Amino acid sequence: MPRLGDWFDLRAGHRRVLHLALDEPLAGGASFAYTFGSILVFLLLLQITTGIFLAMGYSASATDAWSSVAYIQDQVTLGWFVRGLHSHGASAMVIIAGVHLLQTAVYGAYRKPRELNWIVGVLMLGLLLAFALTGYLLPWDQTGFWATKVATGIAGSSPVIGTQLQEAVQGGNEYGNLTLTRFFGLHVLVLPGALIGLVVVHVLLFRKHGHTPHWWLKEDELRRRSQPFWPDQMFRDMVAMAAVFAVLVVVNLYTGGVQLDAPADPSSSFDARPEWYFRPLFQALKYFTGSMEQIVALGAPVVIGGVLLALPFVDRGPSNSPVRRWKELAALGLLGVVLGGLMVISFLEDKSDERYQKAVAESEERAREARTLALEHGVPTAGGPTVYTTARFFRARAIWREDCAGCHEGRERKGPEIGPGYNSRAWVRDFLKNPSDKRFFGVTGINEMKPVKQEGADLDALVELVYSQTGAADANPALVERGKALFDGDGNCSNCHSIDGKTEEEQGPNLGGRGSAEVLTEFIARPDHPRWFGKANEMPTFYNKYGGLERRELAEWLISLRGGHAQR
Amino acid sequence: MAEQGASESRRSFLKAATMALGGAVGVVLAVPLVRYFLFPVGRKVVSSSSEPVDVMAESALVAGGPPVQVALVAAQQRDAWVSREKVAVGSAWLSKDEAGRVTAFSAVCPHLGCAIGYDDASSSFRCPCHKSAFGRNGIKQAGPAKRGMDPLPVVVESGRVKVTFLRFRPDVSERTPA
Repeated sequence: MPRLGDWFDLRAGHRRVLHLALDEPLAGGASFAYTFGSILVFLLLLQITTGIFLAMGYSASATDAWSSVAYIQDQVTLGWFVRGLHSHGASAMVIIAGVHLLQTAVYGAYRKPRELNWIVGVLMLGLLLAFALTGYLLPWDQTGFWATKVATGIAGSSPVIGTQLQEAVQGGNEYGNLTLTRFFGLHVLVLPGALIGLVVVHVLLFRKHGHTPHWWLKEDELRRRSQPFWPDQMFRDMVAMAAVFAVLVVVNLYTGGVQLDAPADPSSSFDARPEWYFRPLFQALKYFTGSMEQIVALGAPVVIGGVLLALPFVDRGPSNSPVRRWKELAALGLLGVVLGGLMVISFLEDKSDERYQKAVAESEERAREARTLALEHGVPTAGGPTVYTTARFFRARAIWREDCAGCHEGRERKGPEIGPGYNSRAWVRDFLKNPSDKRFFGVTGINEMKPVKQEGADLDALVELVYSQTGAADANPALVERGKALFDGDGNCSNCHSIDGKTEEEQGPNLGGRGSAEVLTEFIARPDHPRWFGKANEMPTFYNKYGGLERRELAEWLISLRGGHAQR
Repeated sequence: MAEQGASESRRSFLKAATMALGGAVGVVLAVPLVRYFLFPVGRKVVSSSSEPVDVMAESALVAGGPPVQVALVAAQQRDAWVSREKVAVGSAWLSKDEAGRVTAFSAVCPHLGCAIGYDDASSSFRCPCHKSAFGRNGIKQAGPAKRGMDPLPVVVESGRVKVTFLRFRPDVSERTPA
């Protein structure tokens, strides 16, 4: 091994590089207080790695984005885990960046001659938020779509160049393919390039000036307690990174990854919320209206950035001790309290807002439905919300709403009620005992049928006979036989009805195959056929409007009602 | 000196512990990522409906005439997250011999999968990529292909020619379904 190392070093000179990188002495010794920068580098690498793998399964198009993310989330092995790590990792970066900023401020590490590095750091914080903003839209789900619309709307409210700015950011006049390709390009190429460049500058500047040691130690004490970066500090860095990673993994497992909402639907109304770190601004905008709102939306980030950037130029005293710099730190603290307070208020308001909670529950239900359908049937090429059209009986339910529900559902009915339990044994029994009830033909002009007189086992037999016509597999053949005898005999049914599916009676519809898929398909087309209601018919015919396949689907949906619940 | 020795062993321990921790983080991250990456291996990520495809009227094929290339359009295809209808999945060369028997060959070259064309001058099938040549009966005549063209199941039903598209492993002499 040493020989291989020598061979390599002679050619690559890696030992000198490692020596330069690792053997820096730290005055005052290693400390967990210095680990936050390293944690951020680790998290950045984690974001890059998980991001690369996510990009291998992601399609940046308005029709495919949601479907591809749903595919990652629900079908690719551990896709939910990788996506969850990426999303929670972004939150972790914002948190640790905040702590890093605080540590730097408390230690006075931004002070002369390190002002430039502080500025670079503030810029990187801005980039982090830009990452979050662009990444939030990529799944093209309801939350990301509507929340990002607000953000680009704010850009659009900028003075003078607002419209142009918004169109440049969102790639045109409307949200669409170009919005996604732009956000994707920014998120995976431009922003990482910029951030990595700034990280390099940040680390080089840090190495130029060295770390800012504990303020409570004197010069000689600092020198006496000096320790090398490797391994003393690196060990602490590694412990901190591993701890953060462990927390991330546990949170990710506990939350089951990150939510994917229903596909973006511009025709819906959606009460969107931004990511938690944008909540302070979101909340602040509730308190302002009109042009003040625009001023706050655009001005607040500028003010916050300005305060941060000004700190090292204001804080120019001789001491690094936080006690002596309480004014600057108090200003920073106040900023933190305001932002934190707004965020907490925002979450509390949502928590106590019943209407919002109900909307959240509904949108979660909608998301579950969309993802289940995408998993089972795939998403049609038109993408996004068309996933719902793959639901069983989707077309039938649409036809029902358009042409059937008006007469067969609700109080304004003009025909027999049709709903859960339709054509079940219980329904048939109720009908036979009271055919002219308001539930049945009472609301129509067809009211000549007399209630069936039979009771007990005889009634059971007649019910079974009618029930068996639907083609139900669980009909009892012996009862059906007995019912047939009654039909022609004491039941007096055959005076008005036939049950062979062919004979055209004057008085009543032929009951053969009544409620079966075949007969329903035909009946919906021509209820006025002499086999059924003939001249007495009041229902519109649909042979012109719907083809056989559509009527058949409707028929099968009607049959599915028999089980007692409406198929969603 | 003793203190230096103790400090030396402490530092060795720290170095080892640092690398062990780093390795552990790497493994916990690498395992899900590798499994994620290998998800498509051995899985039918793209699957098309496999029923026979109606390609043309039998009467349009001339007995003994030159082969005709037809597109094979699957009624349904699942391509990862998308569900499509009427997707061209491949093409076939159809011909009818003097006895009126219809045959179909996959246009996928059994060598490395290029699309085989038909050369009228030599009355043979030619692959443009690596110059494999096949007779009208699909038997290999020249080139690097290890087997003849792959025949596809074909039926004639009420005057319509219907072809079933199949894929075979490329570049092996034995014809095995892919």
